This record gives sequence, C-alpha cells and structure tokens, in this order.
Amino acid sequence: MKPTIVTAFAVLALLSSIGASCVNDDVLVVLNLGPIVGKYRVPPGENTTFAGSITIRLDSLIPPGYASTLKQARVYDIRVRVEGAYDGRVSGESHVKVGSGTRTSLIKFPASGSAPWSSFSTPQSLLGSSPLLAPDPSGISQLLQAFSTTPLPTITLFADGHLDVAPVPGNLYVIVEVYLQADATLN
Amino acid sequence: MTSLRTYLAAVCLGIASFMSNTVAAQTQFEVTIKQFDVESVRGYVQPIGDMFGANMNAGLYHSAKIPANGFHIRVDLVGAATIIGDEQRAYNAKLPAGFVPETGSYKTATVFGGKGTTFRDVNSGLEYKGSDGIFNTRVFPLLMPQLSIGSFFGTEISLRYMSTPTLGSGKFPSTTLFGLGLRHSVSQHLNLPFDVGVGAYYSSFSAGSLIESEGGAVNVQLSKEFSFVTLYGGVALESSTTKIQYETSISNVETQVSTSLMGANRFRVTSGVELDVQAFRLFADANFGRVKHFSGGIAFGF
Repeated sequence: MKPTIVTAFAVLALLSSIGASCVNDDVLVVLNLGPIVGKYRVPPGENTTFAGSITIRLDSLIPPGYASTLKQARVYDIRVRVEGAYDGRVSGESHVKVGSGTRTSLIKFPASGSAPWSSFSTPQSLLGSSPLLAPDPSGISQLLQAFSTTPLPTITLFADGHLDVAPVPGNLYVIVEVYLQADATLN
Repeated sequence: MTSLRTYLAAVCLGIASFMSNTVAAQTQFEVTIKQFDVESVRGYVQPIGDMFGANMNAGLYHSAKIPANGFHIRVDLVGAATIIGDEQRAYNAKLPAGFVPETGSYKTATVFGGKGTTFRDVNSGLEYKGSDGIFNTRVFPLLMPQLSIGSFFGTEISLRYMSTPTLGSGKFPSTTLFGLGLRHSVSQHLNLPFDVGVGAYYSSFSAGSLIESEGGAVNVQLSKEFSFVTLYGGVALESSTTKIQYETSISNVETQVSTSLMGANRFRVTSGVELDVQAFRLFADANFGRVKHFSGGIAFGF
C-alpha cells in the first residue's frame, strides 16, 4: 500500500502545485477615488461675489487597508458646472490647500475675463479640452503630493468668483469636481 | 482498513492542497475586485467565471462502463487545470467619458494579466490606469474529491463535496464545492463493442459571500477497455454562471455591486485514458471547447 500513498501524494502535489505561488510581484491596485465635490452657493441679492470651501479627510476617500500602501495618485479630470438659472456672466477660481499649507490655484473658470453662466450648465471638463477651464499644474501637483504624506492630511477645496449683474437670483450653485485615481500595492 | 486509511489520507491531502492553492489567492482577488464598479468588474474577472465553469464540469467520468447491478463505491481525486490563453489576459475596459480617442474602452489586464495599461488623453494629457493582473499563471487548477456509488440497474450516483473554513483571523473566506451527478449505462441495453453512458451533473462553488458559481452538464460517455488500459471520451453540453457580489466604499458611499458572468464553455469534447494499476486507477483527459483544459486524477474503488 505504500506505493499507493506515495503515488497519491505525488499526483496531488503535482496538481496542487500547478498555478500555486504564481501571484504577480508588486501588484498595483488602482483605486477610483473621486470625485471630490465642492458645491458652492452663490448668495442671492445685490452682492455678486461668492466664496466657499469644503474640507475632507483624504483617508475618507481611501478604502480600508490601503492608506499605508499608496504609491501615487493622478487627477484624470476636473469638471466645473453650475446649477440654477441666471442670465449674466460668471468668473471664478478654485484653490486647494493641503492640511494647514498654503492655498494654491487649482483651476480658473474661465482662463480670463468671464463667460456666460449658461455655458457651465453643461459640465465643462478638462478631458473635453474646454476653453472655459484653465488648470494650474501647481495646484494639481500639491493635491497629488498629499497622497504621499503620512498620515494622510485633510484637503480643502475653495472656490470664489463673481457674477456680473445684480440682483443675483436664489438657488445658484457653482460645482467643482475633481476626479482621482490612486495606485496602491496589495497588502 | 488499510485501504480506508489510504482513502482518508488522500482526501485530506486533497483538501489541504486545495486550501493552500485557493485561500491566499482569494484574499488577493477579493481585495482587488472590490475596487471595481459593476461596469468594470465583469471584464476583469470574466476569466475566473470561464475557469470555474470549465473546471467544475471536469473529471466527471473516466469510463463509461457501469455494471448492470451490484454494489460498488469509488473515490476519485480529480484535479482539473484550465489553460489560460492570451484572450483571457486582457479585456476592453470602459473609459470615463471625455477621453480621446473616443473608443470608449482601452485594453488592460484582467485578473490573469500583467501590468495594467495607462491610457492617455490625446488632448489634455490626462491619464487613466487599469489595475494590474494578480495571477501570473498559465493554468487555473481545481481539486475535487468525488464519491461514486452504484449500481442500480446500471445507474450510478456521484457526489462532490469539499469545504474549507474561514482562515487567517477572518481574512480568508470559507469555500464550498458541491456537485451531484447521475449517469446510466446505455450499452447494457444494446449489444455494442464498447461502453456507452449518459450523465447529468450539477455543480456549485462558493467563496465567502463574494463568489458563487453554478454549473450543469449533460454528456454522452464512451469507453473501450484494452487489458489494463481504457480509452474514454465523450461530448457534453454545459453551462455555468458565476455571481459576484460585494460592497464597495468610495468616498464613504457604500455601493452594492452584483453581477453574473456566464462561463464561456457551452460544448466540450473529451478524450482520455485510464490505467488500471490494480490498487487504484490513474486517469487523464483533454477537453476541447471554448475553454481548453485538462483533468486527471486517481481513483480508488471496490
């Protein structure tokens, strides 16, 4: 019976070894994190300026277990859109601040001057090479560097700007969306 | 008693080797696919559905000969290995709206692929990346113990079952494999120079709450004995479905992902050989269909 057992072990060892220990080295899992959404209310009335900020904890975007294995991140789109009806024009800028760092420009809308409010009713996208958006590489770089900071910091996304005609009706919003991916190694 | 101990040792070894193969891989697999939304996860893990489907219906028989009557019992330890082709290493992943050129998709690694592809938008230079593949292997294995009992008017019932517990302080999901089959000797009713049988089989496999696979097959089995060698083969119609369900959390928003993957194999042709070496039988076969795979193993019976 000994040969039987030896054979059984040999066959099963062969079968079980097929495909075993064959996990790729340094597997990168791409985490689709975004978007970070900042929704800023434009106050109604005679004042034509708006300003606001949202702060998020960066680790709230990261799935459990991955915060310590992040390798790099990328922004794959920034979109700016508006909600509400307004016949005038708008201009604005969004800034980013990492932790207690300095505010850095992230994107201007439009690059200079102003644009009809209604032109942002359809989301303007970097991917669409919108002429109404002017991203600032320094702000994007600062945002991405936050992912290599330990512990992961907070991110504050600001937006400010103004409209050209008063009075400003109610229920107007400017919305900035930042779409991100981060690469992490498997635990 | 010695024979019984041998059977038990072999079954335990089979279970242990199955656990060593699958548990570590499950964890890698599980944590990765939870990063996919429902649109992307199908392409990334579709080869898993194909592999499970093909393997679950493997090694169902290694002879068409079933005695017309008389009690017999047989334990098979079946190993199945599905060949992973190039077409199962990459898939067309969906791109977010706005990327140019606007093909809507880009080819990147499946769970069996290599490095994930980075797609660059030609206008903005913005990039979007796919996850790397996890498994670097040319074959996808599965081990299954199978118990066959007969015969009642040339009919035999077979049962496959294996369960592994949750391991690693809850990191590794439990797995359960179950299979049930029935086959009948047709040649007992006919005067043929070879054996003919027909069979119908059901199989299921689950890994935690993440993966549930079900498969079914009906086949026609043929075999011919030559001294200690039996040549066997057959054709089968089959299907399998792998359901994947998980919760994913993006920006603190819990999303339930649920999708079903149909196994690629619908039809297979099997060709194999069995060697009777007295104390046990060794068998091996090749299976041809949309998914090519091999199975083999060892059988003990009395």
